[in-house]
Amino acid sequence: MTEWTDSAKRALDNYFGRMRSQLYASGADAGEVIDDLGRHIDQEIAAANLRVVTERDVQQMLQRIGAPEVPGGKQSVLVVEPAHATAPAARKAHPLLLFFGVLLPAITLAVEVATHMCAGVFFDPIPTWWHVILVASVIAANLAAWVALRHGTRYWHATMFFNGVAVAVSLYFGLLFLQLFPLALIAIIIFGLGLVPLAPLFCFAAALVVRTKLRRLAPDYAPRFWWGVGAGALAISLVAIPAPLTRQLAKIARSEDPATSTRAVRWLRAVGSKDTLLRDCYGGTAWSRDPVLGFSFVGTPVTPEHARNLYFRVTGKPFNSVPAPQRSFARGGWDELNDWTWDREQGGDAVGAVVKGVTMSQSRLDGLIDGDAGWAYTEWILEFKNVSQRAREARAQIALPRGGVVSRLTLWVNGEEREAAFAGKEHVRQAYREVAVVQRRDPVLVTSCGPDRVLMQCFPVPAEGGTIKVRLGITAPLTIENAAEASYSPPYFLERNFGVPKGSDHSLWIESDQPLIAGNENLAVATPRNSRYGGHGGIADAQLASSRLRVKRNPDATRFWVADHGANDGSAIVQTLVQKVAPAPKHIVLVVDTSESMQGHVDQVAAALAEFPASSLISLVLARDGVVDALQRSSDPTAAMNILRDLRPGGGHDNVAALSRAWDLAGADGMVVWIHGPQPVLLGNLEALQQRVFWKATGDSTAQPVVYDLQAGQGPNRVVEKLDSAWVAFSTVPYSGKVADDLRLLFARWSAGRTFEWTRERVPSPDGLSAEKGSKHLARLWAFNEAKRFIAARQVGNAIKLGGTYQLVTPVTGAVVLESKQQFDQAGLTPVDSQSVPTVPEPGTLLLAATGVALLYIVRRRQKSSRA
Amino acid sequence: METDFFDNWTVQVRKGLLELCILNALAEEERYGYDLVKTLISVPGLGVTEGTLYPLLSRLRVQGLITARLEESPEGPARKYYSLTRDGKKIMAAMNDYVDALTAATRQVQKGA
Repeated sequence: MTEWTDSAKRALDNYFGRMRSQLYASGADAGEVIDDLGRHIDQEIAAANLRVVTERDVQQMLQRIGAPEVPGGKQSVLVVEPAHATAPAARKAHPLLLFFGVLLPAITLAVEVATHMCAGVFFDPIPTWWHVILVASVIAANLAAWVALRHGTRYWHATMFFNGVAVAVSLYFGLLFLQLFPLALIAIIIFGLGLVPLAPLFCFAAALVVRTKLRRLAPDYAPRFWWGVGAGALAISLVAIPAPLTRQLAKIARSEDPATSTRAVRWLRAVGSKDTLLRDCYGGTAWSRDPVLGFSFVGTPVTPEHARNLYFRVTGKPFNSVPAPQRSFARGGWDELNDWTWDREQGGDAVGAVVKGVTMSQSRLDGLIDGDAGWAYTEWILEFKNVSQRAREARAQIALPRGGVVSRLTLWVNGEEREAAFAGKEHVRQAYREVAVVQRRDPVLVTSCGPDRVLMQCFPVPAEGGTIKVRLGITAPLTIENAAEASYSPPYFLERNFGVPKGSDHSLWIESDQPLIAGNENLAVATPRNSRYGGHGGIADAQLASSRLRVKRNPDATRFWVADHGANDGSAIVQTLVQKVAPAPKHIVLVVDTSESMQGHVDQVAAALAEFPASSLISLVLARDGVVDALQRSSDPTAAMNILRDLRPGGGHDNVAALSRAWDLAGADGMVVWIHGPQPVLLGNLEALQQRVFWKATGDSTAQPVVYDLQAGQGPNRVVEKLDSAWVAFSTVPYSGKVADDLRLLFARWSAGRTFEWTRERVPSPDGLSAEKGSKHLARLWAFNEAKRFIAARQVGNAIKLGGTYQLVTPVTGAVVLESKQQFDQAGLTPVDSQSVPTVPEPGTLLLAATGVALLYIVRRRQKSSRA
Repeated sequence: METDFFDNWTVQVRKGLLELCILNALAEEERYGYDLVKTLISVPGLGVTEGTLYPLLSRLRVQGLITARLEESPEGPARKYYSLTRDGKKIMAAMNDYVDALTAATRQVQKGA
């Protein structure tokens, strides 16, 4: 084994370095010659049997070998010094090349990154940092080539390669800016400016000139140029093509022909840019749509509404469930993220896009649970903060506990609590719009937006760090698990247009006279004190939906009464727990959404089918780019299990058509179980499903199925939201965080053949009733169900009257808080008496506490006076 | 003065003939580089070095007159074998004919003088 000393290695490297710069003009392949010489030297060393090669040995060998002979001259010239090679090259590296190939594009890039001039006025040439890196690589390649032309280099391969990259990339940007050529010419002629938009074209020309000079100087390295062109083209394909490609596919996806549209969506799922779609969900200038190869103005731009639909169909997620695109440059592309643009959903009835700067700064849930009487009352206090430059509206869709109703709404105005007025939905919305949008003062509005969900909106959240604080009171029945146990779930956000900062938990505090059991790890149960039980915890926003508390109840407590505070005629509301014999449905149709959001849940559905009621037939309908009848009236649930296990959820799918199909399959003796992810957009035709629900509501339909609606995860459900009287046909199945557990519970209830249900009725007088005294919440729950009954019977006026009297947000009534009495008067509304609203703790409990404090005071006084 | 003139002239002649020498050295058989270079260096009067020969070999290969292939050697570094291409053989024949004709012409002029 031969060893080389460091100085020997250096001597050889120096020799090769000098030789490389001299060989490029010889017509020989410098790399090959150096390899050959290296091999020759190795053989010399082997022949001389040298163990250690010293610098002296190398010098001797190199002296013998000599320098390469440059052909072509009249005389044979042995070139020794690099200066001989660089002298002619220096003349070829003209300073103009440096200006147009390096300085001008560098200035242009810096100006665009700093000011977003082009992005704001025309189109966004560098929408991502990858684009910036591409442009910077062109500038660096031109600079390296210019230095090589002037001073020579040891890295001809790399220089040629990056020159190829520069030509390809600058060609792309040159074509991109070609559309501004006429404007630039005018600017040069009139103002003497305009070089900046022409910089990419100049840069491309400079790269081509450099290419010609390099090829003359080092022809053997020319093939590397084409490698560079290929690499540059590949980089453009990866970085710059996805956005325009996505937009073109998005335009095709808007086709009236369903097959064409579906095909385009499948392509978008495969090759589309989700980031581009998300950015288009937030709008943008028309010029920023398709900045490719000079065809910016061709075709209709993708509208935000269309982009939002597509975003769901491609990703299976609501566009506002992921963080809004935030980048420090190219802001002109996103109108709605700009501080000085309008929130188009403000005052409307949709949650819409996430607005800049608004966050939930505080969240507190206080609640009371009465396990025996089966009700819960929760007060949710929310505070929003706005750090943007303009006042914003905070909007959220809130899921209520099943069967729940908003029974209180409060707004803090200058530190004082203001209660809401309850009236017809359109009436309160009109009052809100007048005050929020026109007068731009302080209102908050809560309206129903489907079964077990309300839309809350408040304005303004003042700019530059201002806050707004609201409180929602929610009365809800507990879910009766069995005679001795009930369960409670808190309200949670389905959809919101504000952020929830990391670490901002919802602080939950629940009290009850009955023992509480934590339903999952989100909540802890406190040690009982004075026969009171408490459950509390700080719960992350994503965990709130699956938080559960179970409460023990006295199985013998089955009948309660309360004076009907809405009637004031001595009548009472009586609530009775009824155990019903309910055999399992003969036929259960499972509708399974196969959207991306069901990833991980579909397997759980399959697992739960192991406990499918034995006496029921099963059908399986899949919502997958249309409707797939996967299984019909089978007595073997394992067939459905196998189909589900082979499913690969992906994209976002229309569930409406699948629901209509399932409805028809269920027929007169069946039920539908709909397991799905969020449904942020309505893709299919709702009328067919609406028609079925309508006939069910009349009570005369031949098919009477109930759709058990189990939504896996947080998010909106436009299907039930947009259906009139959806509560007639849809029954929410609470989501515990595990679809398998929720389905097993549902199947177990059916298999058991009996269910527990509260019934409430109004009686003329409580006299002679064998029942315990209950809370006013029982009357509110009765009134809520009564209002829904009126609506189903087309007696909307009665429903509105009932909602107003009992201070409830029903499908036809809403609650609004305005800033002043004058505004209430102008709107023809009367805020409720603050003494009539439900509270936590209840007034009775407050009275008890006050009495206790007074007694304690008296006892202390007596003790003091006796000591004296 | 006379010596300088002669030296310059020999450089010109040698330079013109070097490529032909390489082609001729490969006329009979394939040869590996080290051996070929050593052979040519040892030819009296040719006065070349490795530093001159390897670039010439590379240029002839780039011009398609010779081909090269690498072969692992158990005795040391890999060996690079050179051989003539069909074009190389044609050119070599033409060049030899030309040199013969040139030499003959030179002699003839001498006799005539």
